[in-house]
Amino acid sequence: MRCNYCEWRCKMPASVCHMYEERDGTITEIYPNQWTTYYLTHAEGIPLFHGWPNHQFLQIGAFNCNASCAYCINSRVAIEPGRKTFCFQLEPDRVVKIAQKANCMGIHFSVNEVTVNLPSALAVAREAKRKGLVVGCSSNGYFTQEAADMMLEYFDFFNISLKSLSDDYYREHVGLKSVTPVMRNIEYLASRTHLEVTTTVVQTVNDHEITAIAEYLAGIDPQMPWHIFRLLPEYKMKDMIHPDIKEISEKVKECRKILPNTYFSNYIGTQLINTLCPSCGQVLIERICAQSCGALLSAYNMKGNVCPNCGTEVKMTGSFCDTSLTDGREGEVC
Amino acid sequence: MLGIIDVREWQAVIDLATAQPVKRDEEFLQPLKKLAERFPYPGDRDNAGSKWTIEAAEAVVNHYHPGWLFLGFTQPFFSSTYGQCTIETRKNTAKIIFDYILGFAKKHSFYSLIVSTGGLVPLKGYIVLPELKGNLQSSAWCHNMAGVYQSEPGDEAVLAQEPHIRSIIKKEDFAEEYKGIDPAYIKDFPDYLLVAEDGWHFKGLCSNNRVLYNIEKFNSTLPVYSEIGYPDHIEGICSLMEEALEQGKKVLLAVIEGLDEDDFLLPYQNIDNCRGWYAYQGYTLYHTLVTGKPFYQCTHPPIYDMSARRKLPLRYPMSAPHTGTICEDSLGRRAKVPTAAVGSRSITTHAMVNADLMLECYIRAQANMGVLVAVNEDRYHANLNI
Repeated sequence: MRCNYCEWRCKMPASVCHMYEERDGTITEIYPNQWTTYYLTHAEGIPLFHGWPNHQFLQIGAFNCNASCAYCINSRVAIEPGRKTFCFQLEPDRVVKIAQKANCMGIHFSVNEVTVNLPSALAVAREAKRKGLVVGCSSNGYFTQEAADMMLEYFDFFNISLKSLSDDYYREHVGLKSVTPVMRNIEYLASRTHLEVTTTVVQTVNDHEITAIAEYLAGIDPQMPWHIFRLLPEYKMKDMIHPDIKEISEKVKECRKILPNTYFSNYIGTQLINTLCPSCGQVLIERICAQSCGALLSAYNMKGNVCPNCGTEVKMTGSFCDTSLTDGREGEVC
Repeated sequence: MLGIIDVREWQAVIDLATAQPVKRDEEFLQPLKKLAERFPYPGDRDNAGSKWTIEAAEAVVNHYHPGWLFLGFTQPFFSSTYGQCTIETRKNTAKIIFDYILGFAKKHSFYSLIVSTGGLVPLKGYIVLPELKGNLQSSAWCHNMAGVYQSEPGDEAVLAQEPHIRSIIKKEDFAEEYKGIDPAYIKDFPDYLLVAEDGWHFKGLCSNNRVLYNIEKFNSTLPVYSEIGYPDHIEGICSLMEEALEQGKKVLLAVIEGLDEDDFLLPYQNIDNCRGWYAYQGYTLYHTLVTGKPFYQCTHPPIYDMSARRKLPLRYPMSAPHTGTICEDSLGRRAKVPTAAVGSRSITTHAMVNADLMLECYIRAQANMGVLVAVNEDRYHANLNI
């Protein structure tokens, strides 16, 4: 029997992620409802720059992965320790209750690859939708069409990591056989849900692909939000040089002519995380990079999803959570 | 407060109150930019981190000539928390740091005051409390403390049954005991603030997901070495330094994280570190060292509500991401002499010590994002002109 969650399509009992087994003729999770971490972020920290601005999310993740990125920044839970990691046993209703109590608009599956514990994630998502929460995930995108459909039933957004357009890169640095399924899923999801794409830049390894990836994404959706992430490599590539910010910034500025919602983040002081009106150039959403990932929203200058200066419509899902009128410690949900 | 962030191949000048980049190119920034560039942070886990503090301090002192200097050393803490560290290694590390501090103080004629934040204990286990209906929130700063927010009836009984909790502080009781404190502090205070028995680590919302080998313990006293006298209580250290400064002495306050009295290789006194159920640790310890104020007058409680939404526009989002408040009444801010700080406890250096000129590593979620030079321009310019 073969697992149909990711494109490894492992023949049981062997599985690349070590998270599934065959039981009574079905693919079953070995560690259901076990999570290594749950914490709080906001849409911009996911990153999600064109959906639910300034809303709070519960981020939750398990362990293990179906890929083995040589630069993984979460290798301690995603790759290396496996079952040595502490796990919470949290049933779906408890996860949702925690999110609601913590003023969250939704739940975001992250930390490790969601498809390695998909039944548990879907159970949480089902319960979250029942309670009116938004649900989504960050994923390496190496899932099957069947898994995509399962997730689309409940997930409102995806942030898919497109690490390169080259099979060679995927084989050598990501530990996956091909980029083709990832590209197929990006194209499939783009017309069906809220999709943002992230690319981690490893200097001298994939930085030459930036323009080609922008062109590829613009061909799918000219307003696709694309996050170029300045990677500080860890794990097996921890001695690699850090990306050259000036050089990549210039490329990003050029990319914005092809794909206006292109961003460059993960370093303090970047201004390439603001959303500009593609028509008149007005700054529509101001963000700051203060943490190691994502950003914080600092000002929302749009009227709904429209530029107040020229009336151009900008891609935006969900409403802005305006906390300017609270006293900052009320803990109210927008 | 102005910040210069250096990420090794790139720099930005930032208004730390808003975290927005600012266009500033005055002449006075040039040596500060060079300072940031000269000292890339090597990390917390070996002696290079301690060497970084002392070498950066040398450059800061030569540039600014402070009369009060803060130095922060974290390597003993991080080596023992995130790895197996033998007693011999820790003692060797301690010796290196003490030698650095005393040699530096002698060279620059500082009177030293050295405080350890206290020892660590091996991790015994986790406190998870799955039956709670409220949210158990912990933090990566204080693994042995947690808070219950949005609690429900029955939660108190659940807490009472947990055998490894040392103290349970009810919000109403706390508010009753400390009448007159800032309402914002009370608002952020959990429904129940929990302190674990030594070796037990709370696991909940926002708790540290890394493998820990040793964690903080309830340190009722802290070992202190001083060349300006000894206080009765850790809260008295600030006034002791103020008195020494009044006498015209140059004072160096060094904080070393993670050393127990057995590792404290200098002559020391054990100083009372408690306020009833609370033993100073984390940022409240830094706060009381530089303000002299008790923990309930800190910028926020030992555990604060990370689920509370912060008001837009954000204030100090890089410095105090969850509270928006930095320490404005530190000795670094109010001393009559120029003040400076170098520290490897990331944003705590500028958010708590708040000196005229500061150099710190900028670490977020344990990712080395570069170094930050922070400067309070009002005092910095005035003192340089003198």
